[in-house]
Amino acid sequence: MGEREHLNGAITQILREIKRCYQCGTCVSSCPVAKHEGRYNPRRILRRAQLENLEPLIGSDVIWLCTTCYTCVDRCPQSVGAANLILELRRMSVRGRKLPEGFIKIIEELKKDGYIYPIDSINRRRERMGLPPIVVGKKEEFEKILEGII
Amino acid sequence: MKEREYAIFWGCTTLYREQSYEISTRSVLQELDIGLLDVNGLGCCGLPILPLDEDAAITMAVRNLYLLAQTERPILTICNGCYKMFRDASRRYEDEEFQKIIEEKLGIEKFEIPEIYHIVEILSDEDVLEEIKSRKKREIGGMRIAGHSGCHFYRPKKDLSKGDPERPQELRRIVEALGGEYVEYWDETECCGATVALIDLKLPLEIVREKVLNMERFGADSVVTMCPSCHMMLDLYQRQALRDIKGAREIPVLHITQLVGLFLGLSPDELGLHLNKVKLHNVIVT
Repeated sequence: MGEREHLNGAITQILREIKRCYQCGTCVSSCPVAKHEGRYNPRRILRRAQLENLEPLIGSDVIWLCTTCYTCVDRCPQSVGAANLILELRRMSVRGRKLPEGFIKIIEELKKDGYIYPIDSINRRRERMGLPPIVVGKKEEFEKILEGII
Repeated sequence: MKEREYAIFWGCTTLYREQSYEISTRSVLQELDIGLLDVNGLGCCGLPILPLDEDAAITMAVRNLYLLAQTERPILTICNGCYKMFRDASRRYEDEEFQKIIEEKLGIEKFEIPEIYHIVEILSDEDVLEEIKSRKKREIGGMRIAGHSGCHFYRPKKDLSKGDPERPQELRRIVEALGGEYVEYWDETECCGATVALIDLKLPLEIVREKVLNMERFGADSVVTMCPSCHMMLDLYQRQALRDIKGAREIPVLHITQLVGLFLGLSPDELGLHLNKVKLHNVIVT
């Protein structure tokens, strides 16, 4: 199966943009993650993507290590960087594949009251702190927005 | 009505894990006679699900912006992540096609998105700083304060562009106006790692450890932050991050509103200082 079959508009545009990358490595030397985690190398990820070898990236844990700080984007002499590519690879990877555990919890929470934490559980604590109660929105609204994410 | 009033958006992390930021923001703005309107029914800004589904994330943001806009006041956020998300959503909302999608999904008419501000813009404004300086009640002049400005108020520069991500000035301007010494340190602009903490703490803890050690190395006795997630990483997780370092000294982490509040003479309770994990004893007499 050709990978192109599930390449949507966003990734196609990004793949076009990253053709400008000439592998100087500014992204790697600017990256707060690459410094601590040898498995994460934005230059190498960009190279793989340039060669349209996306499949190993999409299935890999490595793409979940980026903090999306955008330093690589800001410092890239070719205005490319890895963050936007990584975000799109993550979106591709969750379509019909594994979602990191942390995200499953977040979506479940969001569907309840729109917050990523169990906000309803803290109103009593807020009262003790002299803070006004949080009034949450309707569950149905959030369910509708988040329909189909997982 | 007060002369200056904002519709406030606190975001998830402040409400749930960083109440000290909410408490100190309320106290400081009240002291400066700047009004805050709380709005019911808000939710997450959408940023955490940006890596999963961009449209859903932006729809979450626009829903909040719509509710906030009903107050007919400018919007104030105190979180870098929420700020970026709202700016991104505002840009996307200019697209008429997307407006239609939103109309359908949320059942709301087209609306004008108000101006969006970050608390650090309000506090580093020249007139506000003059006002703060004129109300000095406590000496912080001896403090050597590092700044951790975080990422998403500044980056990516081409989208946000209000400040300089390589040499962020907002925290520095506030610290120096209050008479504190602003301490530069290696990799000052580096990310706190909070967004990865959802998946795995190991990497963010290494980032925090290096940041804190660099602050110490350059002689800082405290650090100020402008984002609840950065504060959470540097304060809540600091002890764990320094666990294996012999002789490491813990560095108190203040929300920028806590520092301004101290200067204005507000009490520790009014600033939620008791909620900070790293205590301030050695830095300032509260």
